[in-house]
Amino acid sequence: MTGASADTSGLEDWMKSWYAPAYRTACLVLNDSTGAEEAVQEAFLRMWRFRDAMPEGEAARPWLYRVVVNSCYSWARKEWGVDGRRAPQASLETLAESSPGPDEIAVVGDRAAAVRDALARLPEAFRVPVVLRYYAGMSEKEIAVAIHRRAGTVKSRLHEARRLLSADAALSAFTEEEEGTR
Amino acid sequence: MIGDDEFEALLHAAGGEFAVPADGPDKILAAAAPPAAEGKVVRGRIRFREFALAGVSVAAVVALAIVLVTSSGGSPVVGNGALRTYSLEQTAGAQNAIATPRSAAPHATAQNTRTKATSGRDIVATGTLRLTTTRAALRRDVARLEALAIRFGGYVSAAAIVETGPHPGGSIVVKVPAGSFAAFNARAERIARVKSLSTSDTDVTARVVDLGARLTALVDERSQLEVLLGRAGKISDLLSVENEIENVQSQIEQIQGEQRTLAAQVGYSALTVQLAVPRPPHSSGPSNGFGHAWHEAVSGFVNGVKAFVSVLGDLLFAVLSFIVAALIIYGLWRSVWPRVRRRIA
Repeated sequence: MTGASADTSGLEDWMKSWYAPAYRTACLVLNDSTGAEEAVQEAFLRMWRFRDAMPEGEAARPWLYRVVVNSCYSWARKEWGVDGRRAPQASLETLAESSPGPDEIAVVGDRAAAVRDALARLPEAFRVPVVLRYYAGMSEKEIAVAIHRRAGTVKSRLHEARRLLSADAALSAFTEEEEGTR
Repeated sequence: MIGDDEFEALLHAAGGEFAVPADGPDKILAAAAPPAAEGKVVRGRIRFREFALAGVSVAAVVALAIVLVTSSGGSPVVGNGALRTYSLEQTAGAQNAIATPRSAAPHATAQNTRTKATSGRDIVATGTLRLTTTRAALRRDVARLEALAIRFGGYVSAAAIVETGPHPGGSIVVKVPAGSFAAFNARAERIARVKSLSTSDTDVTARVVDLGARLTALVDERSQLEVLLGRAGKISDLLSVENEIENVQSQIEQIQGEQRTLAAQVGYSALTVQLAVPRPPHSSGPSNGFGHAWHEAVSGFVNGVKAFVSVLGDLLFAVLSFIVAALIIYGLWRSVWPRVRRRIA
């Protein structure tokens, strides 16, 4: 095996291991599974083409999310117009990967749907930092790099997003109900 | 207000609900494979809009071809007796087709000349296009080049782009079908300001013919050895013929490999596009305020040191001259004065 093919096989493995987190991040950002698939595909293809410029080690993860977020923006602009906004999708073809009982499915499904709807109601400028912070687990600094904004801007957007989500009637009702059951 | 941990749990619950397509990574790897036909992004679904656009494009091309043929009096023969032909350039994915009348545009004419000159020959065409762009437009220009390559049925075979840092820029190697090379170059030149474009053609016909002849000879030799193998009686003869067949077989495979490489080089022309971002003009210093004062102070200090060194140099020269003169006078005095004193005495 040559050095170059060894490199590409390493990259292939890396791409396979990061595909699922990237796809789910894109789903949460776009609230559209088809769009997420296309955006992630485009992002990984870009990474493949520019693999020589790809940072190594820990720096690769923020870079991946940066490319994924940019691909999501591009896809949204292409599909939904200049502002990349649209009405939240009524239903998504989502399937639970685990196999819980019927009651559990209903509860988990309700909670997930409530979060998805609340995220979809959030302006895009707030939605992306929230997803990157609380789903992808990125730091404010890494998010700032990913969305080309200052760390202070990210911090204020996250604060505002948390405020809006806490004020979201459907989501807060759900969380209060959950606290009550505890 | 909902806490951070709770947000994390909620987002993970929502994210975990999405079923990840099992064939997603495979689709990407298939699309990333280098051959031109696979260089295009594999979409999950074909959109009606794209399909309609392709249909309209084909209809327009056919209509244009009919108009051009009928406008020349229904005869395809032109003044010099050569047929007026139209090159049909097939794009990647075989979805779009661009029919270019060869007399319609300058680059098409160049392509016509090139095709005539290279008719029946195997030519490897390469080129280097140096473009000047801006830091802000670098990424956009790279994306345009990629899109253009796909449009012309080609692909990006190598790319090294540096977007950040003091020296942004880089280079992309684009491979396009040889028939579209001139047209591709003409379109690529419009992407940014052109610094230079150089192309070169290498005729590899002799090499192709030579490889073909050697291959035929080796295949014949292998057939003869196989006949001998059937007739070999002793084990030592058998082993010896087998060894010889293995040697010939490895030579055949080597030549076939070279043929494939040459065919790929002839079929696809490579254009290396170098994108450079010129450095901003060096600032001569701030023009007002504290910066100006600081600049003046530094400048004054440097001028002062320069003047001091200059004065010191002059002074040193004068002192050295004085010492030399004094030594000469002293030497003369020492040699002349005793005689004078003796004469006086």
